[in-house]
Amino acid sequence: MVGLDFFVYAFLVPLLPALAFVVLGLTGKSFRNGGGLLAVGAEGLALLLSVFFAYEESVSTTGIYHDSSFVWMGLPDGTNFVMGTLMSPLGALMLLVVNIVGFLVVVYSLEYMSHEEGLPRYYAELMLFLTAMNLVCLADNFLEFILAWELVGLCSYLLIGFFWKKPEAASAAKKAFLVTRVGDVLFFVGVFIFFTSLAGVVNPSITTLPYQGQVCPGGQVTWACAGFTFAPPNANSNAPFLAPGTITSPGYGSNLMTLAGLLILGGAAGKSAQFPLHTWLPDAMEGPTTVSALIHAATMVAAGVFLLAITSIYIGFTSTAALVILGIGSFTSLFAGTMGVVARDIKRVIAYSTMSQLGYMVMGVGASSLVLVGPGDAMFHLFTHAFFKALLFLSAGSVIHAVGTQDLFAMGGLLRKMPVTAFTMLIGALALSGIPPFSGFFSKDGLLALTWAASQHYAVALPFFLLALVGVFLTGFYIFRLWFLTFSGSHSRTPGLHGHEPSWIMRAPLVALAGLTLVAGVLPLFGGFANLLPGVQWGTLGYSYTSSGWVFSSSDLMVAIASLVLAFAGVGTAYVFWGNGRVFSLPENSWLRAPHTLLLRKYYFDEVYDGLAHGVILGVARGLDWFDRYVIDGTIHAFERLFSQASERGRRIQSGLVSNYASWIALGLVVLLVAIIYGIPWLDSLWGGG
Amino acid sequence: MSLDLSPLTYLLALAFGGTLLTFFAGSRARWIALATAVGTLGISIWLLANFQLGLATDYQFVQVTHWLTLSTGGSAGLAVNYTVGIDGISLPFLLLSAILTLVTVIYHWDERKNPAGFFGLVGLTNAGLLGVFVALDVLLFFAFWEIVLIPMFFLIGHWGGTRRHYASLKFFVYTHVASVVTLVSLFAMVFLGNWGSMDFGGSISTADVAALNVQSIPQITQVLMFGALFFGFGVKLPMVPFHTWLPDAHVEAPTGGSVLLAGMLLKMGAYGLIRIAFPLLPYGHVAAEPVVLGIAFLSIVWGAFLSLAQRDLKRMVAFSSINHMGIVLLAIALWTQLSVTAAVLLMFAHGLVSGLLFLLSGSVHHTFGTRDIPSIGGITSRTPILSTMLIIGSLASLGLPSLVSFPAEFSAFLATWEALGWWILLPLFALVITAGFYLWMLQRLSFGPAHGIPEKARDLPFNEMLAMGLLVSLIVLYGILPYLIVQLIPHSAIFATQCFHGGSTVCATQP
Repeated sequence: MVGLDFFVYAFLVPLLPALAFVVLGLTGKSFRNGGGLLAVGAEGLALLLSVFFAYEESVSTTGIYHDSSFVWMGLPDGTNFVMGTLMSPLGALMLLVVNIVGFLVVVYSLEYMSHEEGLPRYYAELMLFLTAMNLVCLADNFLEFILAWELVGLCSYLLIGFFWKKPEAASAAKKAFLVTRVGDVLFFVGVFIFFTSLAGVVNPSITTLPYQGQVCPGGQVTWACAGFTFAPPNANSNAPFLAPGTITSPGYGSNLMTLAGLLILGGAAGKSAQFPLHTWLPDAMEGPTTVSALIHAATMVAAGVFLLAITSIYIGFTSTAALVILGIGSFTSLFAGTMGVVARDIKRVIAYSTMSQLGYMVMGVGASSLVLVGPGDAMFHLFTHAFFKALLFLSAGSVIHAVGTQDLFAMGGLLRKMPVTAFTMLIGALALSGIPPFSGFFSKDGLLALTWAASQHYAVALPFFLLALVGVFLTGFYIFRLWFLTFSGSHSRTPGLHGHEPSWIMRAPLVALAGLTLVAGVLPLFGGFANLLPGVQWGTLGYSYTSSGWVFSSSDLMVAIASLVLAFAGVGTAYVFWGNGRVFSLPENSWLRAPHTLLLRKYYFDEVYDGLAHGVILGVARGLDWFDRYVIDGTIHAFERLFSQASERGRRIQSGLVSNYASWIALGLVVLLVAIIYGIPWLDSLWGGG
Repeated sequence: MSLDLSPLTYLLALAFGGTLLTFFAGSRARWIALATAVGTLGISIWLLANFQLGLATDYQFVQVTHWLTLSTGGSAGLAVNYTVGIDGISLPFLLLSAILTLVTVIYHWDERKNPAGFFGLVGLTNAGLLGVFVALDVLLFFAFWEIVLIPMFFLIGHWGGTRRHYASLKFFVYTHVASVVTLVSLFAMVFLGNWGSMDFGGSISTADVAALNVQSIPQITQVLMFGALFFGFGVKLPMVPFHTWLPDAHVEAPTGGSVLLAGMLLKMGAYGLIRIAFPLLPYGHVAAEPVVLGIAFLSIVWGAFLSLAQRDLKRMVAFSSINHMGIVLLAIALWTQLSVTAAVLLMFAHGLVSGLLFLLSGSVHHTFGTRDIPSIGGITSRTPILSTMLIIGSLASLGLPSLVSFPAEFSAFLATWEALGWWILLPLFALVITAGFYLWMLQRLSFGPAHGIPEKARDLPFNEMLAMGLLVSLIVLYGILPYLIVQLIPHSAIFATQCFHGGSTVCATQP
């Protein structure tokens, strides 16, 4: 262990890709292969640093390094907007996730993207994304977080629209930006509430909150004087995080704080594609598959969960807000799964699974807030999910790269042609379904156990727990539907479809991610890794992981068994319908046709939102435009006609000279001056003097 | 009479002298104009470097030169001075005016239609603007104010588009009516308030400024005076429903004219509100608060919706200016230290960003022969640099962090939340619409398959790229390091918002 002062250099992690971005952005065309190797180098160094930081963080005793010395904007009343770095357990874990997946994706891109146009732009935007994403992990206050958060949104916009000549890509990019923008606006208001309500709170009963004010020059303790920094608590312990009852203490458990929590959820829902702001994520698959793996599976979309996690630690959710968070997450996990069952596009199926898994994480943050522990379990699932989901996307990319189509029904029989890809994808699918010993089982189990525990305290949560269980069945079903449709059978359904394995440049990241998917679930057994997961409960495995600390009832085991049975049932059902190259299609007159169409049309959310945007908002805009032209300006024109004499004169003046015009102005001035100088005293006397 | 001339006097002398030379320079006009613009920018930067922070409660680089004394027929005479000076509120505008003038000259480097007249009028606009922002005497302020309008009238009327005569006349009538109303109220303030001189700063000490409060005037008169000033300055902003001159003026104005019009002329109105109407008529602005806020919200929402409905790129940008200036008006109306700082910063940001967007509208027009958004598309394939600039400009205007508008809008919205609570949802809703119309425009114009692009379309020439590059680098610089400009403002914002309220005690404690 080197000591906390080493964390001073944490800023290097975003800086390295930032430098690569600047170099590539200005001189990218002069590099061979679009500067991919430079990107690999910069991101590799960032990866080494983040591994080191994560290790240091996991073995450190104090856990927090905090620097907010850079005053971005300051006002004399003590309101400082600062920028800085915060190295915390959660941030270090997130940093690790971002840079591992980031590095592997950049390496994978070297081959996958090599035949595309505009490579310098691709790598530059990727580097900008990694800069911003690392900044999200290291942000030390909400303002800095918002800044980085919007920048990752920008990169998402640019990279979804990478194939900008395709109208679908251009439309999907706009949609992603706008839908997340709606969430961001809510997020802003939530942060404003924190800014104003937590500042100046002097109620002694909340001094134990994980919020440290600083003393302002005036002697009052406000958040503003601390520059609104996240005030890190003693975060790396497994003990219950907030003292029970803290959340409802006076002045804090107010309706305003509930509202603030829900507004933060709004921002998280936009970024993490949670119901009802989920519509952009399936369309975002118009971007390159590498981008889908990095941004729309492993990192950016998980930033919403990260936001909820840090908010739950640094500020806390009221129980009402936590229940809503749990509900939205759980509902999304099932809701997304149902659409994944019918999707035909290989990437869209995986996108729905991402939405669904993010739903589990959101649900987990809500549940952990309800039982007053840290968000460690949700973060653990974020950690494992990043690897197996990136693995699934990159494997899908390998398939798309080879066969040139994304339609599942055009594939089939690729197992023999692409054994490595089939095998890595199988590992990813097993982990996603929650089959032990793959990592997804361990982390998802923790979330389900936590939600079960929450439902013991709050009966309202029970139906949502059941929804999440149904989601487990669907997960196993749709992901193995995908696997069987792609790989099983003796031949492909499209004649002449020739699959082949990619070169080692693409295979190596696949194998690395497969390895991580295997070990990530048991990684917490070693060293101080658990320190990176504040408040983690481990679900069923808690019995073997820790001997002390929070203990759930033995019903945890029942939860684990139930989810396992459901997962296997899902996989089995998929085998019955789709295994061995079978292709199942609904009979024409089946009563399932209507629900099938409903799912295929994504519950008509796109139609409703499009109607809102194009019909209502654009309609209002055009109506106002008409009003502006014909009523407001029309009134003006009516006046104009009244003064047509004046305008005649004006037109004659206009053909004249500058001096001519200026003399008119001067004359007017003099007349006015005289009128006022002699008129005002008269008015003065009229009003009885000043 | 002292011969100690303020650097501001040199600044004005350079701007006006250079302009005069430009008019008679014939084919060399552009070089003279360039030298003048660089010179004024140089002096502005020198002022920035020598501006002392911390004692910004009072004006710096002050020069008071007595001109004449008017007999008012009653008490002691009224001194009319040449009084100039700047504080943290006016300094950003000096910089902005110099920058935008330089950018305009570079962009129009190859202007063929009577270049001497064009560059001369651009220089005259700049000189007048500099005068407006340094003048601390009512008469001087108003004289410069009028000077600015004249060259803009001709720029639109002579170098404009097909409906230029209509647009310039509309611009003239609107702004002149507003000027007259402003003038009446200004003089009412001076005479009814029994001012000893026409100065509203500079010649008088900090404590004395409070005495400019027109407390002795009947309140109803104060409200009327405030109403007149608010109307006069508000038309310039512009505020809904007195905004219809703006889209027409912009659509017809030559590119450089639009840059100065949106970048600087709109700011004159807001500057007048900050400098004169709000601090000097405290009772008036408190009484008119609901109306001012209502108009601000209306302008924000109106501008956003109307932008969405436009097909003409330039008209869209013009309406987005109404939206942004509505946020400025909102921030001014809240009248707190944070909000006034935000207002000035917003205007600085909007000057740079709208300048860039109007340059882009001009380039789109002469590259593709039309600004009609639906009739061209996929321009990235033919003109990647133009398209990249368009993306950057749009992102800056919709408030993307790391670009200059974000810190401004964020602090304005924070101030709004602090003062008005849930009303914040209205401007935030408009923010989503703003993102919507810019991204929709980009989707249609920059992306998708190429169509409607003429054969002769070429990417940006060097001078246009240079002009836009200058603005982009400033947009990024001040977006990443906003304190570079923000540090100037708050002390003066305290002075403006607090010193005039209820007397000198607050000001006496200021450093």
